[in-house]
Amino acid sequence: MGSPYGPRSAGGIDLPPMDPSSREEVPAESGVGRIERLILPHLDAAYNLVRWLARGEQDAADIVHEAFLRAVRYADSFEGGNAKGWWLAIVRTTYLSWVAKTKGVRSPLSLEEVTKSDDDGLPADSGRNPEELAHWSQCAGMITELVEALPPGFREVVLLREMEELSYREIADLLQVPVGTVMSRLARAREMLRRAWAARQRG
Amino acid sequence: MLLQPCFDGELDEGTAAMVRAHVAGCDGCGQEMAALQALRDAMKRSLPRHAAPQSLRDRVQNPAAAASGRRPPKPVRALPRWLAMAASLLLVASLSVGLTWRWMEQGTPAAPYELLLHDLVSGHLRALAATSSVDVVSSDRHTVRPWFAGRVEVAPPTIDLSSQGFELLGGRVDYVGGRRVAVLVYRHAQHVIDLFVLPDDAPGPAPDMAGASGMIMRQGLNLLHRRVMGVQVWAISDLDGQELTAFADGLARAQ
Repeated sequence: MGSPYGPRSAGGIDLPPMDPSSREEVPAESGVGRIERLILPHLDAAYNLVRWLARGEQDAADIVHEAFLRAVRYADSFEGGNAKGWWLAIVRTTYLSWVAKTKGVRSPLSLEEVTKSDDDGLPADSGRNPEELAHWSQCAGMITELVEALPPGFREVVLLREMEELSYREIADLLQVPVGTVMSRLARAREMLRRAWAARQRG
Repeated sequence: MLLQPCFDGELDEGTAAMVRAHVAGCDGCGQEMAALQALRDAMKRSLPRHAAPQSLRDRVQNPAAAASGRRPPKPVRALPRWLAMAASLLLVASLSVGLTWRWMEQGTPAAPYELLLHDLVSGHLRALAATSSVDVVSSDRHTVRPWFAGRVEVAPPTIDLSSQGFELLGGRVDYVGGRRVAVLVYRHAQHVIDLFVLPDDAPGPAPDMAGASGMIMRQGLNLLHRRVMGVQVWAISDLDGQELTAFADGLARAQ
């Protein structure tokens, strides 16, 4: 059977063995400067993401700061490529462990939909006809409320797509889920927003 | 089906052109596209974008300040003014004698290791809480191993331990220290065991922190470090110590 890993996988190891003592030297001074250059352009994106997930200003700042410390420590793990994705993944992991630690919640980015009952009685195409569309653009404040009301797991996906403009693949890497899951979550999130919107229009 | 990927620019040009041609002639799809666009426009226009506060920027750009920021923030804010001032004087003093970030790294040798354990524990807990803790479901190790090709740095050694009561459920990709690593998921009785396969340069176990058995406990979970077929692995589970040791020894024997 041909090895799916190509020639490098002989012993199941893709990394050359490293001398640990020489490894330790690298991230110090040079690491901070390099990581700063990678991260600073995306500091707002990180803070914005955490603010939308965690709400509190001070908490969000602390989480992003802790993520930065982690990024510096693990500077060597960045092997070029998508710095924003690498950094946001660290930020998100830090956020998740922060929630687990402070609130004892294991799965903060819940995908549970609050109630199904809001949907009942709405036609399948709610939020889609021309008059309703026109309203979207007029009530800015309500959009924020609706996005905040989304279950966090859906809110996250729709924000990464619409605000950070990440691709499906980038979101999948960040969330550590298959691309298909990103697609279905995104579609569901958009559907929920429309239905919630339609429900407000009627209510 | 393809409307949203088309709308999000995720299709190749040929397929996208086909979808657009269809949308042009289909009322329902046209409306759907318009609705997606309206939603996007509305979000772009009205969702507030939170900019990182200057205080955070300062903490990040000044590693010395970052050192003090590692303490919980609230007690720091509650300190009397003179103490804060004294602290900042000290900080300036320490800067001037050249105590930099690097000093911090060396002064806390256990920290990278603790961060590693922390990532392992949260990865494990998160996976348990998710609907499915595996991305690739298979008890066949010849299916699981190729799935990881190109997804992680270190190919996992997939070992069949079903004869000893450890059933391979599948695998997933998790993040440890910001790197993608392979996790093999096993089950024993009703307990799930995650086996993290780490690159060689990830921090190993600190010898003084483990008990005689090598067992480490965090948040009620047992963690065990082994070298299996030339790679370092961490087993983590709520399984009791003896059984987890049996699992790890089974892996070690398989080589």
